[in-house]
Amino acid sequence: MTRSVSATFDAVAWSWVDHLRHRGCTPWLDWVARPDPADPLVAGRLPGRLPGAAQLETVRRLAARPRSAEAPFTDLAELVLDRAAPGRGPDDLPLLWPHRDAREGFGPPPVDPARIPASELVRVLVGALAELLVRTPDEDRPAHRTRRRRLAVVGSPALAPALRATLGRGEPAGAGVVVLAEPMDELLGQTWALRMRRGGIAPWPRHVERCARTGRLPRAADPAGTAAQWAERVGPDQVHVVVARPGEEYDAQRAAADALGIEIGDAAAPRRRGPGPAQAELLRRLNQVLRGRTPADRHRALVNRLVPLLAGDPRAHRLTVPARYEGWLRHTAEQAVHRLREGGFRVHGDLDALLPAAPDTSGPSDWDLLDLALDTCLAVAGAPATSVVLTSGGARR
Amino acid sequence: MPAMSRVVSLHIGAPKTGTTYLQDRLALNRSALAEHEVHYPLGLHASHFRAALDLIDMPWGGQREEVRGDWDALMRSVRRYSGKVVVSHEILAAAQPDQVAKAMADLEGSEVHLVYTARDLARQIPADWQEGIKHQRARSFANFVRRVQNARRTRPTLWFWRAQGLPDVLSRWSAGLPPERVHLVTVPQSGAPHDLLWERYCQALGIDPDWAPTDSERVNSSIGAAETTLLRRLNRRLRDSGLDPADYRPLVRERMVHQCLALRDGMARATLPPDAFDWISEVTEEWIEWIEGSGIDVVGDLKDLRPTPPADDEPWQDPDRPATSDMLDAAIDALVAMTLEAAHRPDPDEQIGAKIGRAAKRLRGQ
Amino acid sequence: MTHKLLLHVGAPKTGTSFVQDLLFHNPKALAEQGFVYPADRFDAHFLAALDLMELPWGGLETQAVGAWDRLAEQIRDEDRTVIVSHEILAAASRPQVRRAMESFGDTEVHLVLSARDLVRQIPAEWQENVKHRRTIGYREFLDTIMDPERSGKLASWFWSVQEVPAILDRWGESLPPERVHLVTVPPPGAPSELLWQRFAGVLGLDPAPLERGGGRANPSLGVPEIALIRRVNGRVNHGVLGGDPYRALVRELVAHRTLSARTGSPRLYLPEDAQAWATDLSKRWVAALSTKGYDVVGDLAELQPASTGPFVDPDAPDEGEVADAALDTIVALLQHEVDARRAGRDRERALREEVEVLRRERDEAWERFYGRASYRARQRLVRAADRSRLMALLLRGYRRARGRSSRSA
Repeated sequence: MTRSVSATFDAVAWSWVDHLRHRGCTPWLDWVARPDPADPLVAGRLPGRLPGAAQLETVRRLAARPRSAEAPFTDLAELVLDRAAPGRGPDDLPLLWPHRDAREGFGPPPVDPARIPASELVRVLVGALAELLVRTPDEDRPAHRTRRRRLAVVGSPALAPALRATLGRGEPAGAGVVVLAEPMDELLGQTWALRMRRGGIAPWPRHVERCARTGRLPRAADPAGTAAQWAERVGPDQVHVVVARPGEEYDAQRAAADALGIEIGDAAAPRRRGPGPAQAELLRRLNQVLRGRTPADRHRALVNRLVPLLAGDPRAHRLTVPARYEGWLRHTAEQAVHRLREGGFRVHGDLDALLPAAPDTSGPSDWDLLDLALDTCLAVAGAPATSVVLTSGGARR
Repeated sequence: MPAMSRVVSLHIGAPKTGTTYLQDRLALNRSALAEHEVHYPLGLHASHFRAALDLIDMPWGGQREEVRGDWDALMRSVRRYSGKVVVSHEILAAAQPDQVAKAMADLEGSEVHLVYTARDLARQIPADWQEGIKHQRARSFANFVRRVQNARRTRPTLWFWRAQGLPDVLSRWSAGLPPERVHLVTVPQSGAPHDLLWERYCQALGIDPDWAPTDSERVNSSIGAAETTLLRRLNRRLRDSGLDPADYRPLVRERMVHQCLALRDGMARATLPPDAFDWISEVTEEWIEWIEGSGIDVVGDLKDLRPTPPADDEPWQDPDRPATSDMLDAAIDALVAMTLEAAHRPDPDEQIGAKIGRAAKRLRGQ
Repeated sequence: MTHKLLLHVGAPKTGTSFVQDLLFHNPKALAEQGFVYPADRFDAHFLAALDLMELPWGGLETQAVGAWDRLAEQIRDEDRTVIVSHEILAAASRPQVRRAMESFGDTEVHLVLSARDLVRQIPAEWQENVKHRRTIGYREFLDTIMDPERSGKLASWFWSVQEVPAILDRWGESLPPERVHLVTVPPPGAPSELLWQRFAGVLGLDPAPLERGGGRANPSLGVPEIALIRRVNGRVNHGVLGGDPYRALVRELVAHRTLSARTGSPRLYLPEDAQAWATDLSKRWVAALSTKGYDVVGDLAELQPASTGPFVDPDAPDEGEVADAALDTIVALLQHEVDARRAGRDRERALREEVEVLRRERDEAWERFYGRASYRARQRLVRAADRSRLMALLLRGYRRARGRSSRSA
């Protein structure tokens, strides 16, 4: 085994590693440019070679997050530095050494860690997250609360649960059913997020493509179909279609309460339940790793454990449908609006709001995803059950 | 049953003159037509193909045996009705004189009219070539045209003339019929209004077009030159590997051609070479002379039978040598269609299981 | 005495399938010589590799949970010489290699890498990509791998499985050089048995008693054939054709069984610029490798590109030849479909015959009962006996039929 980097590079690099392990966040090139860059022999070196630049940069960014104080950082850093990133992509990236070419003659080219694409750092984090989740023993979950009464509020996976909770406190006056309708692209996004919550791995564009190709919408994204089915059971005049645009949750809740004849007083606006687009994408990538590491039921349990710790605001982004499906989306939404109008249902709100708005690009970027992944990783590492395992020095994978 | 007032309109051809469309429209409007005492007796079948094949007694890729008795069954059906009865299938044109005699004998007691739809020879020759390819033939277009040109047109043996040779077909079929009961319907040239053929057909049948308002949505199942040559090359290979006609029909003709290739955009049709037009025109003029002298009822315009010669500046594309990229494109389409067919084949175990389940239920008396 | 592990990690397209086929199908012959190839299924080591590298692979990864640890346990507990072989192991990164080495306990690990010259490897890699649904053109592929940045998944994967000195450096990090064995693939024209003899030599196996299992040779396709698959990919990706039918139909039936038989088509080589670049790179590799002290089985010079052939561009193929290949493919698909339908019809006929037998037995049951008791009693008896016996008969026949019928290929 020959070390073909100069002793100086070696010393500088290892001292940077030590700096990072102790929550330092100086970028590599800045570290190199310091007047006194290296301590000759640094205690606490990890055995073997230098960790890859992607792993190092990930630890640096973890350190830079405000939440880094909440986790047992050194242990977390060691876990990240010692692991390979899962799946495919560039690995074992050498650090750029500006003074001379430190290349071996083969292998990946050296990089400036600050310029590594966000998606590569996310890849590292997803692997670390999976590892943290898998290592932590399963806790005994309390028995699922039985619902007290069946309340017919359907549609909109993000909104319906909160509405059911609020309305569930009162007594309904009749056999009415509330179908929550939102803009079609919003509903499609929610159904995708729900699938990711349940262990799915299909990317968002493929989810849209499947719906477009089979012509079948998931039930929760099909207010017209749902309303029609309920109408067969209870009659169309008992089916209340409540239009709930993002931002108008309070009014929607009020309309639903009035429709069902429930007194809710001055209840606060219902909160949308995640996961939002960015969280769902993170879950998707995590699912890809977890399905190769645990059997299906444990996979579910691990995701359930993760969801409350997911960082970020679920409402921060909105998914846009890929351009080539815009026409299909508009057509489907128009059909839904037509069926809802002509179905004889009781409509509360403006059905035209269901038509997709002009596409904007507020979908999550790789950098948004990175911040989310960093904070989630810190949250999981800091969670009581996990941090115990981490600090007890669980065996390296 | 005494010979009530029954008029039987025998629509005997020609093939490739829009007959499928006309038959489909009749079928779609059967009940409406029946209210006006116009009957199109299909029974359980989709067309009169089986009855017609039975009459003309040709092998037809092994299907001859399956249809034995179907002509007599159709005749029994016809005899149950009064008013107007339409019998239509384009392969009837090929019937030999003794078969015609049998048909006429079977229709004894009815007033028999003949209807023959005809299109210009410049369109018919490529169309019939294509039809042959769809029936597993592999003859080149040049070869086909040569045969058509050299074959005799009176008492013909070549299928093309047996079915398309206008004077010969009509002479064979109208033996004993007064000319006013023979109706020739000319198919309009391309660009004519969509319903024109239907109107003419109705006129020949003696019915009001409004009695059959529902239009047929059948798509034209013809393919272009590149596709036909592709199919021809495929047929040659299939000959070596031995594909049963019973398998060829659903997989190649139905799935690959009608459900895939026929739907392609911008296909260039096969056309006759420019040097064939003189000869075609000669034959056509012969025919027109014959028609005018025969006294038969012409519905439409005899000018429709004159082929439109190609424009001088349009280079002729030899159907046997289509552009390779067109053929490759078509081949890829066909390949993908076949792959999807193989992929979407439902689980045979499930299907069989379901069938056995049903049979078992029946045995248990449920 | 610690036992040995012979770990064969790659490279792809260097005869690895052939070796794995032989090892998998000859457990007795191996055992007699003191070897074991611990695999309960043909792809056991593949699954273990997927587990080690946390690699998704079209859903197969769900079958790989825990596979590496199980394999490692088998290796530790064995006292015979263990052989492990799968060519994607080459792509393991350093931390993964470390984990693997640790999991072997105190087994004496020998690393084996088979390597072929780049001029043959590069077209083969592109072809593999195309057979796995990619639509990337040849020129774009070449540009991607020749780019020194190596950004993107395609480039990083290519180098991780093809860069011989780097693979040996990663996997050999903790091994003395004499335990790192580099087997070079002989140049084209060499006797076909030579490569296997070299392998056997490295493994320490007497190859004579081993028999082929049924051939999983994946012969290479010619230029028009690869171009055809690439075009088909463009049409069946994006949800048109699912993963399983693609594997069974496009890769197996079309590529491996039909198109590979067209041996007369032009083979794929490198264009001039890529040829020069590959030659240069190979030279540098050979120079680096010769200083390492690895055990070279064959000759490092064989890694230098030997003769090449005329470059026929698969991005602009002769359309007539592609159309020809397409026709062969259509015929094969038709035949496949016909065979499948016929098999279905035969099965159905057999089951219908069984139903006929049952019907006859029921009629006989009617006859027997009809002659004896009073009418109403008869009726009741018949119905009761009928139902229970029939039920038994039907269920038996039905179960037998279902058990017999198996999925057609």
